[in-house]
Amino acid sequence: MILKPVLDDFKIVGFYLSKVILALGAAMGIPLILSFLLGEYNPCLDFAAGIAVSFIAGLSLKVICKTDKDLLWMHGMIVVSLSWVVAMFLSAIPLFMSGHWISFLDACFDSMSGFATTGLALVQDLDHLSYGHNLWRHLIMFIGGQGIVIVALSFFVKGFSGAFKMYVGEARDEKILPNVIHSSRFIWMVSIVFLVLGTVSLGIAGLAAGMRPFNAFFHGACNFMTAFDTGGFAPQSQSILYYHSLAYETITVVIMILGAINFKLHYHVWTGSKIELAKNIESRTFFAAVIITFFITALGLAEAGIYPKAAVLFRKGFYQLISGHTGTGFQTVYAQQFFSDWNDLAIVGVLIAMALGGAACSTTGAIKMIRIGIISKAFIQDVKRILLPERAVIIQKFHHIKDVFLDDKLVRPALIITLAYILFYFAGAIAGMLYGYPFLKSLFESTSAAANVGLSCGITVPSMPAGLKVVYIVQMWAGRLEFMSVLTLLGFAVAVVRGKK
Amino acid sequence: MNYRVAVNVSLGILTELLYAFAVILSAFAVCLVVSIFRP
Repeated sequence: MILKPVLDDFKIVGFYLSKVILALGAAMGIPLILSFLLGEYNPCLDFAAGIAVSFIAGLSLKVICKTDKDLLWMHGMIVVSLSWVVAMFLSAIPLFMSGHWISFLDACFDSMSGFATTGLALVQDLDHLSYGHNLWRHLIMFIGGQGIVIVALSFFVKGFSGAFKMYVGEARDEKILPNVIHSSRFIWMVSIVFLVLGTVSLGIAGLAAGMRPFNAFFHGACNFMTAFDTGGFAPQSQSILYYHSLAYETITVVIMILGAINFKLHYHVWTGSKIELAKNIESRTFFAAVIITFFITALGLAEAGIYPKAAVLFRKGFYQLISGHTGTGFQTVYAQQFFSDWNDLAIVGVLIAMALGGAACSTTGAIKMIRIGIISKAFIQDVKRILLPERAVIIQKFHHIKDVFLDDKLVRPALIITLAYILFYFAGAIAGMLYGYPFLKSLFESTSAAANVGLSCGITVPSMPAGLKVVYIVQMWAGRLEFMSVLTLLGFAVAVVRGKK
Repeated sequence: MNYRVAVNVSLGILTELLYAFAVILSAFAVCLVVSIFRP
């Protein structure tokens, strides 16, 4: 029997939601300051409007819903899923006001794409977007990569019992440190350390490629934020192809791989056990998955014969593959080239890579390496069970920070989430086919949206059907949060209508 | 931040960079093998 929510339930959700809204309003201050310093006064007004709406909404909600009641699991999940929807609307305000998005739906699409670290974009004339708006696009990706609620937790909350419930709701089920707030701050510390190193490296690469100093470092910072947070927005419409620089491509590949590593693994490698990286199931599975999927893509590209030299084949093929595998979405080929130049085999290699994703508790989306690793181990265990004598006791274990014995309690949720993702990819593909797109193209774009990748084969353009835009927004949202908090929100909505008092 | 923490973090970052380059070089080796058999 589902119980009807009481007033206190709404107040608790509203109170914590208000903190997230206020944090988002404060974050809009960063591009506002940059716009002001660069003399971009129109963008200043766009961000001022966004901040005003956020502060009015946040403060009103805080006053109306003031409560000192503890957060339950249900509340934590609902706060998280609602936060992402509210954040999408609020951060779309300055984007829409810039005039570079033809409708508010398009601005919402890019906003959700940013927060979910997807990278699919409907922006028009990106190459002439103001510095302030460009910074905001990349900043929302950086915030989304860390987790919107984690941002609010890190800066606006001193510590409360419900923090872990919201932390889990944002698809981070592993605590790095015993305290969730400390875990959130460690995630920020890793990101800031790499932000400095990555921006300097990309800035120097940009200077070497002939860019002006300010632009080189501005692009460096923007591209770092979206590479490390495996997002995929870029300051130029041609993505990373714009730079025509091998150094730039190499640095972004390294940053993407670092972004796909579990933050818990970062912690252990940084604080002691360096060998953990070689032993960990996630890094091993990622390594194997990259090699297998790239083998498929390389075979396809060699068969297609469009890149006659091995070095060119590697440069083009591996970049798209690692961009897809880490869920980033940077491209060094044009979107249409996937289906005009590449053959089906090469595309399927990238498609599988996109569907698999990076590590859990990283900034990537999709099925994730820990689940693939656990399922592979379970397969091996079952094969051994058939081959060995019936009385033999088969013990399978894997290493993830510590040695873990494989049992059904681990295999079952891994299989359920994997199945949910696969169904989700195909559901989006069916939606694409209903709008008249061919199967493989639809599946490619749907997987890119649901796995929060951002590689596009050309379906995602401003003129695409509005219904498909909504489908992709839902896919990006639910895919990033790994379904559970979104399903809790739906269950809550059902309880409001049909719950018993 | 004391000296030992800084050294540990630097070595950690170096280890992660080595891992990233190991992935890249292994993929390059795959590419060479594919190119040899399917020129």
